[in-house]
Amino acid sequence: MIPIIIIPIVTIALLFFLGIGVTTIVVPKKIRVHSIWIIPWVTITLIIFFLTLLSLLGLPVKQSMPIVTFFLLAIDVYVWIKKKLQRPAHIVQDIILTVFIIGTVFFNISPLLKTEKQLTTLSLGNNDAIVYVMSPDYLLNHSILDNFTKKPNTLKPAEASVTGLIQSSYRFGPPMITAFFLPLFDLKAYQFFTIFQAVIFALSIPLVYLVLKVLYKPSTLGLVIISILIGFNANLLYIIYHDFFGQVLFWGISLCLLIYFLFYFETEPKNSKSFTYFDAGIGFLISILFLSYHEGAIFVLAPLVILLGIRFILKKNSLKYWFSLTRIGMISIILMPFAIANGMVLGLEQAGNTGGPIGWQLFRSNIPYANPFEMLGFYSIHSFDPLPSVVAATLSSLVVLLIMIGFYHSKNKLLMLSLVIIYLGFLIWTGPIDQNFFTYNRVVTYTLPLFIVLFAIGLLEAGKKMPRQLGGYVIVALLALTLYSGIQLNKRYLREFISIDRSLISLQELHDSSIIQQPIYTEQALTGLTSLWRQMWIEYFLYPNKSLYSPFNFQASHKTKIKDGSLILLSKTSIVYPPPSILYTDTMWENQYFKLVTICNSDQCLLRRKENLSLIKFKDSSYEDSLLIDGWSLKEKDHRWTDHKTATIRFITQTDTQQMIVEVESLKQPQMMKVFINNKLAGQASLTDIPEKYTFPLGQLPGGIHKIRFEFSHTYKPTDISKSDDTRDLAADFTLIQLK
Amino acid sequence: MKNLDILIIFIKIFGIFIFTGFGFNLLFLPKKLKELSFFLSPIIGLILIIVSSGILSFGRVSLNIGSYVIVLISILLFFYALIFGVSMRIFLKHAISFSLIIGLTLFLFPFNNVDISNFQGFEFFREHTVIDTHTFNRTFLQNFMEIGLASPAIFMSIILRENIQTILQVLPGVYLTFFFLSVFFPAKILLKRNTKAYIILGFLYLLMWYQNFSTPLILFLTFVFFIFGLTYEHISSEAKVPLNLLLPTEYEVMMGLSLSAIASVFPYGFKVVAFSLVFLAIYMIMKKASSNLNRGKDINLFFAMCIKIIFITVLLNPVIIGLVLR
Repeated sequence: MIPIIIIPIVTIALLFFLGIGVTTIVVPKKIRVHSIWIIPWVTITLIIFFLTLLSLLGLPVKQSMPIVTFFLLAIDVYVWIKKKLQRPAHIVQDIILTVFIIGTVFFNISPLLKTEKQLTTLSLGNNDAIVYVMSPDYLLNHSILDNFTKKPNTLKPAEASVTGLIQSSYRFGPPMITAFFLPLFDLKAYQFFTIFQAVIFALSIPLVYLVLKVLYKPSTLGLVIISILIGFNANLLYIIYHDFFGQVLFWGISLCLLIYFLFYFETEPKNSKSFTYFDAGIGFLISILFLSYHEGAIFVLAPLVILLGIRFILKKNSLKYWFSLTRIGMISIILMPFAIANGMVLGLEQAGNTGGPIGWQLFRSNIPYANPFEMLGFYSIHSFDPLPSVVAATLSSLVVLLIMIGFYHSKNKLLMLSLVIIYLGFLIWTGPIDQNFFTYNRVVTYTLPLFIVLFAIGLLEAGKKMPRQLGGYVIVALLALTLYSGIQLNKRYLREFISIDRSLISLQELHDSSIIQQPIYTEQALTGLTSLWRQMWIEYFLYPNKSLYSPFNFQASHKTKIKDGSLILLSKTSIVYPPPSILYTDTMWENQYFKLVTICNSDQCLLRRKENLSLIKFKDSSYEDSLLIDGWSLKEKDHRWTDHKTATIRFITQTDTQQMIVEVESLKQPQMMKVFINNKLAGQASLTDIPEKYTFPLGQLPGGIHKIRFEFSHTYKPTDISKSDDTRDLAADFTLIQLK
Repeated sequence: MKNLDILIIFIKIFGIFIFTGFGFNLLFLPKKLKELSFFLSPIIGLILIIVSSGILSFGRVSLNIGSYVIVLISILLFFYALIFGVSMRIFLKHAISFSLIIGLTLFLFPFNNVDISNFQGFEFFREHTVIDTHTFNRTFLQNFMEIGLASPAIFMSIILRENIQTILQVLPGVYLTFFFLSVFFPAKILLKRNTKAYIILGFLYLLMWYQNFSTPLILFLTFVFFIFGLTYEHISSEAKVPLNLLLPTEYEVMMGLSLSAIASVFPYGFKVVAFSLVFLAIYMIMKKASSNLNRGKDINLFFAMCIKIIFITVLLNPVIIGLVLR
C-alpha cells in the first residue's frame, strides 16, 4: 500500500530534479518564467530521445539509463554552480496545481488503493497494456537494434508485442520513458505502468493551464476550471482507463509544442537566418512526437501549414514565418529522420484505410458520437443514454457559443484559427462523413485540451457579464457536472477493471524454476483463445526463461498430436473461464493457482487409463478435453456447444459396444445432425431446441479407439435469435455422449 | 554495350548526380568551398542518395518511391537556392579541370570488363526496405550492409528507366571519376596550384587502374579524401569559426553526412576513418594549425566539433552506426 502512495510522488519529484538544469539552459526564458511545470516534460522528452538513440546504437536501457542520469545530474550541478536555478514565481497557483496533480493521480489509480492493494497493471477492458508493459521490460535488457537483428523465437510469443511496437510503429517513446524508472525503483513494468500513466496524465494539467495563461491571462479561477475540466473529463479518463499510453504521452508533448508555438509565433520572427532555441526546441519536440505517437502528428503540423497560408493571404510576414518553418523542419529531419518517414508512411496507410472494421464495441447503443456538451465532459457518453435532441442541441449550442467567445477573447488568433480549422475538419471527416465513432472519439480526445481552454476563457468572460452570483452558480454547476461524470466513470472502473492478479503474478515462481526446461503448452493452446488478457500475462510472466506453445503459435485442432509427457500449464480454479479437463500422468510443479502436468494424450496412453473414456457427461467430466478434438466451443458448466458445422471426438472402449447415446439440443430449428463412427454413417436425427436423448445403433463395435464425427446442417448466432452479446456460430449443445 | 551508349548513360548518370547535389551544394556548402562546388556537387549528390536511401528505407519507404522523394527534395532545394538568391556563377569555375577528369576516365576506364554479378542482390531494394527480412530470408544486418552500395544503382535505374545491369556497367567508371574529383579537392587546397594537383591525379589514376580496386573501396577513398579536405578547411580556415558550441557548422554537417555514407558503403572502413579523423584533428591542433585562435578555445571547439560530427553521423542513421560498431 505504501509504495502505491510513494512511487507517484517520487516519480514526479525525480522528473523535476533531473530536468531543472537542462530546462534552465535549453528552454527559452520567455517560457521558463511562466511555469515550473515545463520541467518534467523537458526531462521526459530528453530521456526518450537519448535512450532511444542509444538503444538504436545497441545499448539496452540498463546500460544507457545511468549515462543519461549522470548527464542530467551533471547539468543540474553545472547550472546550480554557474547559473541561477529556476524558482517558482507563482507559488499559490503552483500549490493549487500540486494538489490537483496529486489528487488526479490517486483518483486514477483508485482501484489499486481500494481493491488490489498491490502494485499492478489495470485496464477497463482493452489489452494494449501488454505492449506498454512488455516493451519496457524487454528494452531494459535488450536494445532496439537487438530486436531488429535477432531472429524471432516462435516459442516466446510474448516477444511479438514488443516486435509489433518496435518494428511496426517505431513507437519507442512510451516504453523508453517507462523503462528509465524501472531500475530506479527496482520494479517490473507491470508494477509501474498504471501509476506512471496516471502521473503523466496529471502532469499535462499544468500545461493546459499555461496555454490558458498565455492565450488569456493568469487566473486562479481559470486554473480551477481547467484542472477540473481536464482532470475529470470522462472522455479523457476513458483513454487512460483503457491504457492508451501513447495518446496520454501525446497530450503532454503536443501541449508543450503548442506552448512553444504560442510564444514563438506570438511576436513576429525577427531574425530570418540563424537558428534559435525556439527552432531547436520545436524541431526536437516534433521528433519526439514521431518517436512517441505519430498518429497525432498531423494535429500539430497541419495547423502550421494552414497558418502559413493565412499569413500569405493576409500578407503578414509569411516569408519570415516560412524561414522559421524551414529551420524547424531541418532540425526535426536531422533528429530521427527515419521515424518521421515511417510516421508519414503509416499515417498515409491509416488515412487510406478508414473503412476498415472497428474493433471496438459501441460506447453506447444510441448516438455514440459525443456532442460538444458531452465532449467537454459535462455529460458522459460512457455512462448515460443520449439526452433528448432538443436539450442536447441547446446545451451544445451554448458550449459552442462559449468556445467562440473564448476564441474572440484569446490572443494569437491566427494560430488559434489554424488549429481550430484543422480540428473541426477532422471532427467533420471522422464523424458525419466517415461515420467511424472510434476515430471520431480519438479526434475528440486529441483536440479536447484546446477546446477546453477556449471554453474556459469564454466562461470566464461570460461570467463577468452575468450578475456575480449567477456567474458563480453556472460555473459551479458545470464543474459539478464534470465531476459527476468523471466520478461515474471512475466508479465503473472500480467495478469492472481487469488486473494482473495474484494468480498471474505467482507464475514468476515457475519462470524462476530451473528444473523445468521443456516447452510448456498453455491451457489456451489446447482450448483455443478464450481470454486474451490472461493468455498475454501468462506469456509475460514466463518470459524469457520458458518456451511456450500458445494459441498464437499452436492450433488447438492439432492437440491430439501433442506427445505424452509434454508439459501443460493448467489453472487450478476457474478464473474468467473454466480450465480444460485433461488426463495427465504427473504434476511437475504447482502453486496455489496453477499446476504444471505431463499430459496423457496418445491412443496408447489413453487405452491404459482406468477412467471410462467411452462416456462424457459434461456436468461432471474430468477428462472431456482429452477426448474432444475439433469443432467444440468453450467449456461450460454442464454442457458444451459445437461452434462449427462439424465436430469430432475420440472415444476409448475396453469391450464391444452396440449403441451410441447423445443428449443434445439445437439453438434453433431446422437442424439435421449426422453421426459418423470411424468415418461410417451411424445415423441421423433432426434436433429440436429442447434437450433430447437420441440413440444410434452401431451393430457390434469392437473395443479400441473410435473417432466420432457430428455433422450439422446449420449454425446459428445467439445475437440473431435473442438479446445476447454472444456472436458465436453455434450448431448443437451436448450434455451427454456415450458409447454403450 | 556500344561505346556511344556507355557515353550517353555515363553523362546521364553524372548529370543526375550533379543535379541531386546541386541545390544542397548551393545552400549548404561553406562559403569558402563554393568555388569548388562544381567538383563537389556530384559527390554530395552521391552522399545524399546513399544517406537518404538508408534513412527512407528504415522509414519504410522503398527506393521505388524513395527515389522520387530524393529527386523531389533536390528540385525543391534547387528552386529554393534560385529563389533565395544564391549566385550560380561561382558554380562554373573550374569547369575545364572538371571536364578533363571526366574525359580521362571515359577514355581509359575498361567499361566492358565490369563485374555486374551482384545485380540481383541490389534489385531487392527496388521494392523492399531494410526491415523486410523474415519473409525474404534475409537478415537485417545483410540489408543494412548492402543498401549503401545498392541504392545509387537502383536510384539511377529508376530515374533513368534503364535496367540495372546497364547502370552497374557504367557506375564504377562514374565512381572512379568521383574519386579523382575528391582527390583534387584537398590537393587543390593544399597545393594551391592546379598543375601539381593534376600530376597527383595522374599517378593516382594509374594506381587505380593497375590495382583494380573494388567499388566499395573506391567509394570509401572518395569520401575519405572529401572528409579530409573538409576537415583541413574547417580547422585551418582563416574565416572565423563560429563560436557557438552547440549549433553545427556547414562543415560539420557535411562531415557527418560523409561519415554516415562511409558507414553505409564500407562499414569496416568507418572505424578507421573515425579514429583517423580524431587523430588528425588532434595532430593539427597540437601543431597549432589554426593559428588565429588561442589554444584554450581550440580545444573547446575541437571537442565541440567532434561531438557535433559524431552526433550528426549517429542521428542520421543510428542503426547503421550501431551495426558497424558491433
